[in-house]
Amino acid sequence: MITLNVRAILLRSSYRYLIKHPWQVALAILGVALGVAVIIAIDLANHSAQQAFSLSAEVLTGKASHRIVAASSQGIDEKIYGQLRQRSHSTPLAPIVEGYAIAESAQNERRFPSQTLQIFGVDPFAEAQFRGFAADVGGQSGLTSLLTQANTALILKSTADRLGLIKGSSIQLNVNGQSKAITIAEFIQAKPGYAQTALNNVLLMDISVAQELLAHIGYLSRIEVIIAENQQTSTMLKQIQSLLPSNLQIQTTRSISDTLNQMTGAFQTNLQAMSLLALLVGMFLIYNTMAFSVIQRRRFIGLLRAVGVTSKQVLTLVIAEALCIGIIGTVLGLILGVILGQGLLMLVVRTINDLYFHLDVSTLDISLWSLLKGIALGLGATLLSSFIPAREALKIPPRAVLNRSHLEQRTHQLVPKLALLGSFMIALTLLLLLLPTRSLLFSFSLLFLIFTGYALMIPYLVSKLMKYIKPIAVYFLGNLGAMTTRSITSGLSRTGVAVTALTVAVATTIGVSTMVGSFRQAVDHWLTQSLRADIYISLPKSTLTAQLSDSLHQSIVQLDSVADISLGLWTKVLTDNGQSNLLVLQVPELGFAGFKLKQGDSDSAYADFQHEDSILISEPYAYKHQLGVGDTLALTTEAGLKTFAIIGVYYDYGSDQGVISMSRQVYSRYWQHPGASNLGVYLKPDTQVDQVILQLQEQLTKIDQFDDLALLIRPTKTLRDNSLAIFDQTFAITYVLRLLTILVAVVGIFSALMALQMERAREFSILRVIGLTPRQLWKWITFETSLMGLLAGMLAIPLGLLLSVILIFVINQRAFGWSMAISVNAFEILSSVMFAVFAAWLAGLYPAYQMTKSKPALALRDE
Amino acid sequence: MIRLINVNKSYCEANQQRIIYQDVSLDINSGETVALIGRSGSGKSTLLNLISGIDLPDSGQICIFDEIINELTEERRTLLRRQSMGFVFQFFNLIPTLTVQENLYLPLELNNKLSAHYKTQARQWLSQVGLATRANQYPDKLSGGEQQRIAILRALVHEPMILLADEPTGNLDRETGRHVLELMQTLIQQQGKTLVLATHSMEVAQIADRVLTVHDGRLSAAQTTDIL
Repeated sequence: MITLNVRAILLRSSYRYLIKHPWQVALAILGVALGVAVIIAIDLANHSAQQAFSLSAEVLTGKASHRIVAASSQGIDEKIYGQLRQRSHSTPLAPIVEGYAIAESAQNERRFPSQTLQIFGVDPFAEAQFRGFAADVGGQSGLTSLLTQANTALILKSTADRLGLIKGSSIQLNVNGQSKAITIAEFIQAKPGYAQTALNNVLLMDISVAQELLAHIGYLSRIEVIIAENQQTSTMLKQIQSLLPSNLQIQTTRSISDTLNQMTGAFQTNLQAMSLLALLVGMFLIYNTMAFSVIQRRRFIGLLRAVGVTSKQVLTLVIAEALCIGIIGTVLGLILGVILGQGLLMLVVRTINDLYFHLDVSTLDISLWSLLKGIALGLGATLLSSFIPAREALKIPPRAVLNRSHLEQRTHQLVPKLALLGSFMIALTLLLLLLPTRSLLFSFSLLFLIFTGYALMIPYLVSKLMKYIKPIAVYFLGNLGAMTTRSITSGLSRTGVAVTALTVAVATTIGVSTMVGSFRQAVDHWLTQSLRADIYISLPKSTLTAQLSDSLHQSIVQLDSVADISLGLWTKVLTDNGQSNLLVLQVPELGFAGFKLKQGDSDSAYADFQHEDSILISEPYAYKHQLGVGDTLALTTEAGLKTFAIIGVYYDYGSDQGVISMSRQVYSRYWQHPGASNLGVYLKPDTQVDQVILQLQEQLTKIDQFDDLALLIRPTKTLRDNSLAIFDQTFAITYVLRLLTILVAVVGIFSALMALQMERAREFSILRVIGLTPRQLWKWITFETSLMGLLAGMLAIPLGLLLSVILIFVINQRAFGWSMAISVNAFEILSSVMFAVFAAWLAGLYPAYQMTKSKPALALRDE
Repeated sequence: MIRLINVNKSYCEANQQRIIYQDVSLDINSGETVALIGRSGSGKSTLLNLISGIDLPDSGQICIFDEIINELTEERRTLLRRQSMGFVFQFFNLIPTLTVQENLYLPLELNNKLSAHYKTQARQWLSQVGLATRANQYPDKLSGGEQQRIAILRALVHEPMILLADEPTGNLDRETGRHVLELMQTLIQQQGKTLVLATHSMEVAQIADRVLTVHDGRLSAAQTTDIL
């Protein structure tokens, strides 16, 4: 058994080693910290967004177990509510009218910037059983004030403070161009926490006021129901359903949360995948750093074993050192991760707002589970990456450990075998990727296997590539070129690991940037293809009523320069697959050509679309619900359940949930006369778009009903540019994660390359004595590191492209149902390679400086 | 060929100045073998470092081929050392990641002398020392004596005018040390080189034309009793 004195000596020796190599230790800690920080940050941001949404939804949903919704966006006839109350008087029911309005400060009131508020109209008599916060209004006086005072609303105290409002203040609410003044009657005193978050931008008002404001007079957005979870639940549901007309459906509130979670599910899965990619890079670099540290201590390990310290004791020492670095790095990583997570949260929420639904959350919810995950990953990766090389050093005889050549010889023997294993892994994984599974987790796991397999091949590829690079190096640098290329191959146990880590990092950036670039190009082509009109007119975040859209149509079609007009309405429809997006379209044949069909007969599609009970579905919709041309889809209409034939599947990158498209003519058979979300104006040939826009603006200003509407009139180019801007914004988070991955890689490669060169201080001193000048030494070190960077960059290209192929053709397809062509940007690839060279060169500067400034005599004295 | 004029050298160790050489002057002629003897830590290695230019004196002049090397830049000193000197260390100092042959060729590569003539000569020398079959092995597979033989060959392969040997047999047993010394003498005499040899062994010092004692920061001719 080792004595306490010997153990103390060993620990002291370790401590002194770490103190003597502060930069290496600092870089190792930083490598661990960054790897952990990225994982934690994304996990926390994702979790916070999810949590905020779930808990916010719960606050507004309250105790409602179910809700009755309508097939059309117009809502539920309020008479239905009355009938239900009569026939099921024991079942708690609450009518809700919900929507959004632009709030502006009223005249003579304190000014605040206009913003969107959520209108939540309730029946004060029915509220008590559903939502607690509605009663937390100074007793019942708040709710009562909604009934006794006209056009009043309740607002959260903190929201009122933020907008500078007091009790009795007025605000102007604009919906669809109609403005209404509302008075703040009372403040909602919700408990701090998610209730506060959920109600942050909510205006609670009497249902009739909400109906008037949102132009929903006589209609409800939904009816909420409380049905106890017991044996009678399904019976009760059937009873209620039987009382409802065919265009209404009763759903569980959980299924609504589930649906909304599903909507962002793919986005969040991809975010998680990016974080796992960052983890992969981080783990490679933690491995790189810790393995290096152990490899450098091989001689020390050999000496310890030679003097009698057992393998187990040495292993304990090595693991203890690694644990120190791991603990400090992980703690730092947790702190960094929380800070980073706050920034990422804003990006995540913005993306969800842009693409899916309104979400308001600004504070990170620090989940213990996320922190524990970060700790496990940070410590686990550190310990694993120290354990493997340490165990290797302990298995072989001490004498062999003391020989550097033994390590290199073993490495050279292992390298071809590892390459074979790696290539086998890649081949097998590529075959497995062909399996028709929709599981994203499975697909990502295979992706990681490909990375691992390729990583195993890299040292072998390095040794082979050097044979071809050597003559080029000799051509440019003479004998120095020969010597540096040789030193890379002869020190493969170190150089191989460093090159592998940098390759993985660069491949990730190539892969992700190729995927994003291909996606952007596909979206750009699609926008060019789809936006056939010359000018588009719309209301921001709103829909024109049927009457308004007809009037607008009439006003525009009279203009001389106008050839035709299209009308589009975005709405929701109930299907067997739940609520789906529906695009109702009246479009000339020229505009219909914007549907690029993946399946279906282009020649007959337009005629069938216009006249038959048929629909087109987008590619994601077809993928998600496994539908295609020839299938039918049942939709709940105002006239009851109706089946429509699917006549085409079209490419569409606008929504990952998928879209059903139907002609306005067909829609009008089964639903009330629709309004419009936007109008497309087709101009006659040789007409100046800008001039027509000015004409339209002038014309519409003269008509009162349009003057107040603040219509957006935009040429197609502007719409296309705005759409691409949203796309770029959506992928902002991907770019940030890519930057973080690069940062992790740069830190790791610095650490590896610096350690590599510093370890050879004695070797360089011998060379200096033999006759290598300081300038030559400088060139040697920087050329060697740059060459390793170049190798990494070159090796990263095939891996990166393979990654992008898998991301585009497998992962994107399975996550979103989108297919697209791959578009390789040579400039991006070249710049990634150049970045690798630059980063590696930079990493060589400090050791080069140190080596050239050091005195060989001193280094050689240190025997 | 080698001239030291009023050379002073000291080291700062643990905040104390330790004088190694005080006002030392020395002339070594071309083709001469000079041995420096003294206790461990007396400064023998320091003098070799000063002559080779890898260390600089605090004051004074060190001339090699009439060139004051301590006034040259580091680059120039290195080039001079590369072309004109060979260094044999006590602990061999072969590059561990290069094979025996690669270690031998290293000075030739640095001097752009990797021609057929030099390569042939190098291989012949390897055979002469009985290590031709070990050419592709790494240094740590060789015994100490074998490594030191390679180190001596490496120091001479590029035909420098001056050989500096720092305790060349210090890490070897007596028998092996004798063989190594014989090799060094043979090669030096064949090529008419100047040898400056640092040792604490009287036996080793006996091969020299002149023996100098390093003591208390000064050089003095060794007494007969010192040698015997």
